Amino acid sequence: MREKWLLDASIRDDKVVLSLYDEENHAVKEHETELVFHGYIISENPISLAEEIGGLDGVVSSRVEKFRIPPYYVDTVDVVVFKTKSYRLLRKLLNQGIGKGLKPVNNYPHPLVEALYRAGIRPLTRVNVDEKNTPATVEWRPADKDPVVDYVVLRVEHGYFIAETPSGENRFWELRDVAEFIVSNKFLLAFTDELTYLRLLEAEPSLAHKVYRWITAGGFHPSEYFEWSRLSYTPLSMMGNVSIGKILTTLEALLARDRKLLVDKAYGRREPWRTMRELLVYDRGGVVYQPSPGLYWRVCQVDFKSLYPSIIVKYNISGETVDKPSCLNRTSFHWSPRTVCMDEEGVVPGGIRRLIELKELYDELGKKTSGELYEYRKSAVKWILVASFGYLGYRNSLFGSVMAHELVTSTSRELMRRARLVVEEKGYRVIHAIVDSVFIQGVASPEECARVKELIEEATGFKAKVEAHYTWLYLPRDVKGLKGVANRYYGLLSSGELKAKGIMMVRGDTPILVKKAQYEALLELSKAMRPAEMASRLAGAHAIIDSYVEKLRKGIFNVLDLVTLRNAREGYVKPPAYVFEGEPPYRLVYVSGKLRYLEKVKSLMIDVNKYIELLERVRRELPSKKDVEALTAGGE
Amino acid sequence: MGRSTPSLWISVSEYVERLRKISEMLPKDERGKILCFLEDLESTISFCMHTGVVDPLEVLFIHLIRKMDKECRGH
Repeated sequence: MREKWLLDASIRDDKVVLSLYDEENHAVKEHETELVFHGYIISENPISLAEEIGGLDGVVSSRVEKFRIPPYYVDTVDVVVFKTKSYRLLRKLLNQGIGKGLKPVNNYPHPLVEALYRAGIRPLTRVNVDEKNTPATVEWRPADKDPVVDYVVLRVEHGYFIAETPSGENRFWELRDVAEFIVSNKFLLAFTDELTYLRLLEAEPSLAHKVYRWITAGGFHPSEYFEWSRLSYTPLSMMGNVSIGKILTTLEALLARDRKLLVDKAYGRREPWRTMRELLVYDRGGVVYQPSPGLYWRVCQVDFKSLYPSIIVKYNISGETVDKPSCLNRTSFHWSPRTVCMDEEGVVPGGIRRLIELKELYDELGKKTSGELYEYRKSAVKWILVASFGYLGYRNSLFGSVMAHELVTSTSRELMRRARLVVEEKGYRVIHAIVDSVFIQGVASPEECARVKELIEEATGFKAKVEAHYTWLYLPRDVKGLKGVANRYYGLLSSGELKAKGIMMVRGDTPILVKKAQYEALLELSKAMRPAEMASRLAGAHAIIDSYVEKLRKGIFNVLDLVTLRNAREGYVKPPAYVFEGEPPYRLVYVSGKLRYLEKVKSLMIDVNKYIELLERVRRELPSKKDVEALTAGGE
Repeated sequence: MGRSTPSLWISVSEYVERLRKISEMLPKDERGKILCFLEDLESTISFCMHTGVVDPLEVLFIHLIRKMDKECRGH
């Protein structure tokens, strides 16, 4: 018996075809298998319908089962559940049901996903194949490695096409070169976005068949795709049109199926009438402070671990549990008018509970092995957890409600309040807070920062982590130079590294030249270890920006370093002019203050002043002299 | 979540803008006091983020109390 990987599964000619991958010889063998599809129909005469379907050729079984119906899963309905090994028959029976005025239900997730789930066949895990070529699944453990495959991830960065393969990154400017690169290499899997894929096919139509599977949901790493696929039983070939929200909903829908909860989009959880007062006070997002701009010394940043998902799990927040009309064990909150029914675990907390543990496990494994694999997996799980909150308030969400969404944000604001109070009671000063992150001034060392984190954990009952300890942290001013901006900051970590968020250097649409200038300037600033050293380092940082301005004025630059990327939807009214000048990716440069498609522009036409303006914006993100002099803004 | 309500900062800043415009017509020393009153308003807005407010004027009222306290201590 030899172990292979279940790389993919698809429906072909009525049956399920498993793509089994042999890691040793890098070959894929397709294996037809007979999985059972499930169909669900509601009828006024369920018993007679079940008998009628059960008597048809190709139907394995048919019976009546009770399912609880949304929105609160209290009442039940009889559902005819039938099984068949023929996908065509399944579709035919469901369509005939609609024609006869019956109601097919449990339409989500896709029947193939449910078939794999019920058979315990998890994509991207190992399977044993015996002499008769019958696959048997091997239990998946989170510490297991991913299959070693020949893959390419294609994405666009700063105007270049980046082709990431197991052996490293390749940069291309011409699309034709990317196509040739793919043709000349035998990749098993290719991951990119739809737009890049279509442009590649225009350049080289044969590319569609040069790669075994194209996955066009974005240029994410294979380990991220593999994790999403494994967790949601969604095969790679179905990942092309899958969003994170769909993966989450699949997880929840499979859980709902196990609990006999009906999945039916016809039911919604509408918001009741609200008073204006209630809307204004409770219908808000997380805490986002308006920070006072300035330079702060000895700052500790504590982040809650998966705050919103943890709130959902701890307080059992789900569409059907919040404000449930009939409930025996109800919890109320002094920070919200909503109540939660604790009689039964909700679908949303049930779906994500394991994910929170999994994320922590990947975090530990990542630290132990210092490999990238678990970082990618952690990132994949994190995205689902992020969506778990967002989807609660999404109007088409199957398992959420606006009331549940609102209760999560209300709870987070209360927790942040508790965090602030406990920290300030100990004499520290909270200088900034963003949703699940608190910045505390006056914390001398990383060790003290860890103690502050413990204080916050005790006060709130939620897990937190030391995100960073800054020797100094700078909160820049907005473009008008008046107030601070919540999500822009940078600083020198006590470990000696720089950390930056939201500033020009880390924004995807900033030209390379401007990024380089800011990075060098901040490196210079990072040499300041004490307040007294900051003034001279600031002068050095200004000199660096001056040198870049000077080079631009003298025309000493590479045009490609000035390229900025934009998408086709920059405004709501009409597409921007550059959309009509060329094709995506839109590699643009400034000409007379406006963005123009690079290929249409001669280097002499480039608007150098616009780039100098961008460099001046970088300069404005540096501390002002006043900030440096007024050490009391964050004085040691 | 901004689904149906503007952000607290935007609601308050409309009042602040009007206050600034009105202050332009005041004698210089009085104008200075109004501008002084508006200083550090962002931290009051930040406190109010935790509980939410019904009326943006609440924020200015709370800020006024904070400022009065500082004034009293100053004397």
